[in-house]
Amino acid sequence: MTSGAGRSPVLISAVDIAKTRQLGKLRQRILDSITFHIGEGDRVSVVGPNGSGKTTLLRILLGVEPPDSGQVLPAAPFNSIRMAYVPQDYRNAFYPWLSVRRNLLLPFEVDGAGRALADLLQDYEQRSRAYRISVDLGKYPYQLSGGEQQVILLLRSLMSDPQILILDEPLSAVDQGRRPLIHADLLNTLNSAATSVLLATHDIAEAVLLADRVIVLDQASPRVRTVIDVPLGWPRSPEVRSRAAFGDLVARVSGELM
Amino acid sequence: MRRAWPWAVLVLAGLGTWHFALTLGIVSRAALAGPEEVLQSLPSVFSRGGNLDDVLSTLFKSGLAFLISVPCGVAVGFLVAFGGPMREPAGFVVDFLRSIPATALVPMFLIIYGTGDNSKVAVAVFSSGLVICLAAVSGFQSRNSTRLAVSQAMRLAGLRRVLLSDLPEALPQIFIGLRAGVSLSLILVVVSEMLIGSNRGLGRVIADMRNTDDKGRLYAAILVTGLIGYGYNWLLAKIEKTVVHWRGLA
Repeated sequence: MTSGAGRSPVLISAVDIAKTRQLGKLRQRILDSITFHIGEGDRVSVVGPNGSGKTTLLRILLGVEPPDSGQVLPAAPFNSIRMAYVPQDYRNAFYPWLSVRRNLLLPFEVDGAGRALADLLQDYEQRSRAYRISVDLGKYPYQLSGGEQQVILLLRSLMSDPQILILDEPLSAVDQGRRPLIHADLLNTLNSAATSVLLATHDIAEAVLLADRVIVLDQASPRVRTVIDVPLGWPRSPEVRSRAAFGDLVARVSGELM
Repeated sequence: MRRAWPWAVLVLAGLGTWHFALTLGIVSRAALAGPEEVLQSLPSVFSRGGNLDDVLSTLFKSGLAFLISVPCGVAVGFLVAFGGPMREPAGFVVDFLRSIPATALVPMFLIIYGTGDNSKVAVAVFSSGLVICLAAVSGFQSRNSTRLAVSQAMRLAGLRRVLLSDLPEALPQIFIGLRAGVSLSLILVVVSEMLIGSNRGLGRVIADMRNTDDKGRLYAAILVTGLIGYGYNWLLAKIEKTVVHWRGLA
């Protein structure tokens, strides 16, 4: 099953990806014939039940896990694409030997990127205020709550102004009350930058809110079940949730997952 | 607050068993000194006129050997773990060398380094370095797959990657090797002091006292080697707790 390429130049493509997983003595095919393209500024959500292969698909696209067959084709040399990744397993996403502050600023040390420290910290302050979260940056990551850890990871990925943002259930541990604040900031960022997004989530409304199309995986078959286009347009504000079209899309995706 | 009485009970029970084993003749007085004799001999082990020089010499040699073996073991472990195609054969060589009882190599080190302190330190470095190396290899190999993915996405590379990611990632395992290494350093220094015609060290005191039949001092010297070994491990556990502060928490 192929989902249509965006109108913009392709940034990264997955072509005919297949992957099996060893479950005890059983070899189970979790992904098969998966083909899609992410263009510059494309926002793609992946939904599906537990064990449908969302995380594996993201890791394959990230280049950290090889597919059994098929290819990941980046438009530019892989290392030259600026990627930011928020893994599902947020507890192991930090370097626990470094302070939260050091963890937060690490990608910028690596790039040696032009952004000044003061500028970065201001960006951090602004966003964390918007999320109504205040974290003692001198602490170690394991001293934060799960939700705080996730928010810091998401913040870091947004601060790095990536070409592609790969998010694996980025808000699963964040309380319901805070999610709208973060969604608003995410939309804000996506409205003003050409960032591509690949988002895996169990939150169907989130999947629709942040995407141009939703790829639905299911557990019974390793293939893509369907791809649902989200014609809500950009720029997008959180108020889009109250539109009838939004409710219809959420219902359609839910229906596919039943 | 830790209760004192269970400790007192244990110490008294130990001393009592020791005392009665001798008075009831279960163990011959020709083989074992009584607790009073050992306690009486203890000050002479630590006195200037007695064996203080030997205690300091053993401390110095084992400590030095351990301190040399740490960077060597970790560096070689790093090279083996990231040796690509060389990893398996190099790992085999390290594992094989470690399997040779180091005491069997004492004559070789004696020929190379002579009968002085150098040969004892060398044996201990060899043995301790190899266990640290093996622990480091497994530490550098056992990487958390999520963190690996994140550092790859961050394009962490080169020396920065080694210092910020690879080395700390391996530290918990390396410390297991350090604990084994520090014990081995002490064991091999003491054993080689006994084997090689040396003139200083607790191993030499133990061998001499057996020959001169001064059992009080013999067992006092053994007690002191035990105290040194315990002290090393205690110190290392303290350092580990500070350095690997995330262990069990992340």
